[in-house]
Amino acid sequence: MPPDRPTRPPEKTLGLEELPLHTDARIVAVEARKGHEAADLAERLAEIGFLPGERVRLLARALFGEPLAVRVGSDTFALRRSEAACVRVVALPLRVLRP
Amino acid sequence: MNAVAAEPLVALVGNPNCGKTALFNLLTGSRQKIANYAGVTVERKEGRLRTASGSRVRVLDLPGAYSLRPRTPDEQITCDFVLGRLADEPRPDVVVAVVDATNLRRHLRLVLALRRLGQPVIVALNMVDLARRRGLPIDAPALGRELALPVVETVGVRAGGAQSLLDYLERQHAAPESAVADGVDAPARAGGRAAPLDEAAAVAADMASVAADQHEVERILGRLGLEGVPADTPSDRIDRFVLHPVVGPLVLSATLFLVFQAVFAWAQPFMRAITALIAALAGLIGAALPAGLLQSLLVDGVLAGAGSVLVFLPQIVLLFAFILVLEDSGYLPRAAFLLDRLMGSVGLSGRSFIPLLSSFACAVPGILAARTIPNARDRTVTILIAPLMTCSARLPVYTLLIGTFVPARTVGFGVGLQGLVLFVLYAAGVGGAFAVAWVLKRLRRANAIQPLQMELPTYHVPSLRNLGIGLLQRVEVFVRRVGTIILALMVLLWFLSSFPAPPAGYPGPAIEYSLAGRLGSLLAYLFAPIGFNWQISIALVPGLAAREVVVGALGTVYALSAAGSDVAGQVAPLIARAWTLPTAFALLAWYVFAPQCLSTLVAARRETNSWRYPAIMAGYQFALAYLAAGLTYHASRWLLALP
Amino acid sequence: MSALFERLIVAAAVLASALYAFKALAPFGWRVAVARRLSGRLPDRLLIWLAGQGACDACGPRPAPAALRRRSR
Repeated sequence: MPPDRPTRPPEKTLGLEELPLHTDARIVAVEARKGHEAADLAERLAEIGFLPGERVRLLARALFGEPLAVRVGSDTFALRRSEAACVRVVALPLRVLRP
Repeated sequence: MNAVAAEPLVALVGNPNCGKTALFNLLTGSRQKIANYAGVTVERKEGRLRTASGSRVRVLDLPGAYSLRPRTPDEQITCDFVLGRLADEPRPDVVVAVVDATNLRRHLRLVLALRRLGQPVIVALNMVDLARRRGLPIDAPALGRELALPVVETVGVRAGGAQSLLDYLERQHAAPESAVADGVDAPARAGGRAAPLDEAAAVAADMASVAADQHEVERILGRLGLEGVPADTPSDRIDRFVLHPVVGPLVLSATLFLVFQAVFAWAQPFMRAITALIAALAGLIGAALPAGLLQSLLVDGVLAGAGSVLVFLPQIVLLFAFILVLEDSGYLPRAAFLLDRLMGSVGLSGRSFIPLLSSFACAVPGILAARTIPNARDRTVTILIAPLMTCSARLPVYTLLIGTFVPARTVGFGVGLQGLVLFVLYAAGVGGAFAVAWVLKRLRRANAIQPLQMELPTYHVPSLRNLGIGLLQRVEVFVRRVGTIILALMVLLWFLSSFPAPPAGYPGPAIEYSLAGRLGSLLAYLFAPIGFNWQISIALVPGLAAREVVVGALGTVYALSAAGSDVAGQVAPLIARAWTLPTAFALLAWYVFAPQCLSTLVAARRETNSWRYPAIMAGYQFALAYLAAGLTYHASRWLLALP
Repeated sequence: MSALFERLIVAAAVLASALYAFKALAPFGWRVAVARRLSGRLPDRLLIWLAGQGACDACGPRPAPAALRRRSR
C-alpha cells in the first residue's frame, strides 16, 4: 500500500491588510471592492506594481492601523486599509529561496 | 518640425522618484525657467543645455508619471504632452525615458508604453552608481538590445554623470540618420508625423495589458539576470524605526522641533543684519535728501516695503533648506505617512503636511506647494487653511505686543510667560486651521475615502548641488513674486497714507488727514466693539498688504518719524500707555486669524484659477478674526474686572 | 532737487506701482478691456504688457498682439 502522501492544505488567501508584519506573501488577485471607483483602483494598484504573482511584504502599520507601508517588488508604498484590502495574497512559507 | 530653425526639444519622462529632476539639473544647471502650462497650475520646467559642439538643446522636465493613464493633473500633463495633445506645445524631438537602474522592475513598464508610441525614445539608465554598489549586473547595451532602444547610463547626482546622454544627443543632432542604426523607429524620425498610433493600445489601459507588460518586463529582466528581488535594504532597516508606530512619531516630533528651533534661532543674526542694513540705508537717504515727498517715499514707502519682505528671507531660506533636505532624503513621505491619520480626522491626507509645514515660514510657498496634492478638494482645503499656520510675518506683531504687554515672568519649570503666550498663539493658529478643515469636511457631504497610494522612496543622502539649485529657485520665485507686488502695494499705500496732506499746523498725526486715515476712522466704528481704537483701525489699512507692515503703520499713526528697526522700540512705550490689556490681547487674537496679507490672496487666486477661493478665504478669516478678537476683548475685560 | 522734480518722480513711481498692481491683480477680462480703451493713447508694447500674463497667468491664453492693435490703427 503506498504511504500516505501529505496533501497540500488549500491555500488561504488574505487581504493584504491582514498579513502579519514582515511576512513574505505572493499576490493572488487584485480585486476592486464596491464603493471605490472600483475598476480604477484595481488598475491603479496594478500600475504601481500590485500584480498577481508579485511578492509583497507588510513593513509597517501606523498607529490606529492605517496607513500601511507595503513592499511590492522593489518599491515601498503607503496604502490605506481599504486599498490594501483589494489585494488578495497568500503567505509564503518562511524559508524562501532567493535567486 | 523644422530641425533647422527651432532648437531641438528633449523631454524627460519617467516614474516619480527616478532621479529625473537631478538629471535635469545636471543637464541644464541653473539655466532653467519655471512657468505654468496654459490653463492649468502644473509647473512647466524648461531648461537649456549646450552640447560639446555648442549647439543648444531645450530640455523639458515633465512631471513624473507611473503610466500613460493619468490620475493626477501632473500626470495628465505628461500624458497629454507625450501623446501630442497639448495645443501650445510642440512634439518633442527626443523622449528621454529616465529609469531607476535599481528598480527596473517597475520603471521599465513606462518605457514599454513609450516605445509603443513610435516616437524617438532613448532610455537613460539612472542611478547606475547605486545599482553597481548593490551588486546588480548592469549592462546597458544588453538592455538596449532587449528593448530595441538606445540605452545610456547616467548618474544624476555626480558631475559629468550625464555625459553619455549628452554625447548621444550630440550625435543625434549631428546625424539624425544614424538613429536608425541605433534602433530607433525610423518612420517617426523621417521628418513628419509618426504613423497614426493606436493610443488605447499604446497606453495599456486595463489590467490585462498591465499584466502583459509586466510579463514582458520580467522576461527582459530574466535575460539580464536581474529578476531577483532585493532582500532587506538599508532603507528598510531605517524604516523599522522611522515607521514604527511609537518610535516614528517621536522621531518626527524631534525632527520638527529641531527644524523650528534652528529656523528661529539661527536666522536671528541674519535678520538683525538685514534690519541694520535697512536702517543704515534709511539714515543715508535721510541725510542725502531734504525732508519731503521723495524722501518719504523712499524711506517710508520703498525701504519699509522692501524691508518688510527682506527681513524674513533668512528664516524662509533656512526653512526651505530643511524642507528640501528632508524631501531629497526621502523622509517627508514618511512624515506624511505618520501624520496621515491625524490629518484624516479633519478630512485631509498626509500629503497636506508639506504645504502646511512650509506655511510656517510664509503661506505663499505653502500654497504653491499644494500642487503636489493630487485630490482637488484636498488641495483647495489645504490652500484655504494654509494662512492660518502662524507665518513669520506675524512674529514682529506678536513680538511687539507680547514684549509690551506680557510681563517677563516665569510660570514654573523655567518656562517664561512670554514664551508660553507665543506658543499658545501658534497652537491657536494650528488648532484654528484644523477646526476649519473639519468644518469643511462636514460641509462637503462626500464621505469618500481619499486614495493614498503614496510612494516611500529609498532613502538617500541629499545632494548639495540639487539642494543649492532648488533653494535658489524657490527663493527667487518667492522674492520676485512677493517683492514686486508688495513693493508696488507699499508705494500705493504710502500714497494713500500721505495724501491729502494736512494743512500746516494740523494738531493730530498727518496720517489722520489722508485717505487711509479717513478709511481707518470709518473702520474705527466697525472695530470699536472689539476694542480697537482709531489708531489701530488706521494702521490695519496699510497692514492689509502684509502683516508686519502694521508695526510700521502704528509708528506712522503715532506720528513717529523713525524708520526701519527703530519703530518698534519707540512704539512700545507709547502703546503701553495708550492701550488697555484687553485691547492688546484682542489685537493678538485678531492677528492669529486675519488675512492681512495680499500676497497670500493673490497666490491662492493663482493656484485655484479663480477669485472665488481667495474671497472665501478672506471672508472666513476676517469673520474668525473678528469673532476671536471680540471674544478675547470681552473675556479679558471681564476677567480683569475692567469697566 | 527742486520740489517740482521731486513731485514728478514721486508721481511717476506711484503711477508705475498702480499700473503694476493692476496688471498683477486684476482679472484678465478687465485688463484687456482697459488695454483696448487705452490703445492708441499709450504705446502698444505697454498695452500688451498690461494685458498679458500677470500674477494670474493661469487665467487664459495671451491675447494675440494683433487683437490689441486692431483698435489702435
